[in-house]
Amino acid sequence: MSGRGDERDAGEKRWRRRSMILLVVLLPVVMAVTARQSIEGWWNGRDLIVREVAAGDQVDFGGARWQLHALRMAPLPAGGNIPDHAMGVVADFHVQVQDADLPTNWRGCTISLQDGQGRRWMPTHVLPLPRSNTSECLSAVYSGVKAGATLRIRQAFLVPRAGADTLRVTVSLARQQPHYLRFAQHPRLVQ
Amino acid sequence: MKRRLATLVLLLAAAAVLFAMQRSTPRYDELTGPLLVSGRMGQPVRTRLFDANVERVEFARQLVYERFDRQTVRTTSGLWAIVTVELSARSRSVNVGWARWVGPGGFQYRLSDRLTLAPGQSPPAVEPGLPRRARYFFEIRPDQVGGAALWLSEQMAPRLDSEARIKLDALPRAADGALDVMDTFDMNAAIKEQP
Repeated sequence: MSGRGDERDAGEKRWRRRSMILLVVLLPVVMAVTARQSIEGWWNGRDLIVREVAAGDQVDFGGARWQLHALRMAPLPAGGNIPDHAMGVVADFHVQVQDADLPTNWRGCTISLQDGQGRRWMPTHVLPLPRSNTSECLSAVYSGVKAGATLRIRQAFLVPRAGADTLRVTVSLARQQPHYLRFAQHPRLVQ
Repeated sequence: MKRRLATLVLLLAAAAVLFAMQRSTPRYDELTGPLLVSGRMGQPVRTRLFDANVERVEFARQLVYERFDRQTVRTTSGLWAIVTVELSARSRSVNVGWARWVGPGGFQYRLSDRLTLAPGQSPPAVEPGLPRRARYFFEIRPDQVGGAALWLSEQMAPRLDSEARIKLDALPRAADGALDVMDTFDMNAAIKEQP
């Protein structure tokens, strides 16, 4: 009688041990499966992996060949929407379109300036820029441009004068994230 | 009999505990709601994206501004509350475009939409390293003045992101302790003296 009882106890113990081991294995698996979408969203929604572009170089990115044509800066007088000690920076790109599906390839196009501590300056509209045949990155998306054409992209920024000459331009496209471009050249002072 | 009674008591206790748990479970929007950063006037309040320091609050019976060479006057049956805030961006450019005046009775006033063509009414864009002043205009009931707070955020309803809640505790008072209310606030003149 007691022999059969010992056997049953041993069986229970064995199954309890197996269950504990399975729990240790299954719990992380279930967590990974349920969190997969969130992790993918996090990974693909950020600029995490930088692709450095040397000064004057062209680089293929998001179905287009990007070149930073000019990066200029000038001090701005304070007043209105311009705070004290501000510098205006204008970035001009020549972009040769290879794949004309810009609404897909250039979705979430963001050109920004970055400093050594990772701070980001987004484009501004407070600078009075002269009329030109350039367009902003996002407004070029629906310009109906054909493959092979070259787009002139211009973005303006408002940054502090101190350290303005150390800033660098970055280009980020939603489809390419977590990869993004960072151009080596620094702003050049013009008057 | 005793055993049955004990089971019944146990069941009732379990039901009570479950009911309490059900009633006290926070809703999803509460769990993922704004992370509050509280402060008071004259102190910098640090949120994830920006620092805000409420410099002063002013009250006026009417606002005047010029647009397209025409002077416009905005009167009110209540009060115009004008909150001047110094803002500085932290890690990236930020538009601190959502401001609410929350009165003592819980009334929430959004920024007035009667000033869409007035100068300086676009959401204040703040760049890292370039602190600036912004003015927020609210049209409020006179009984919502004392014990009010200013709520500031980049988005309308921040989710798992910080929101500044600044107590407006240094209101302009006349010598006799009454609230100091200007007859007219000139928005164009205020813009000129701004940054």
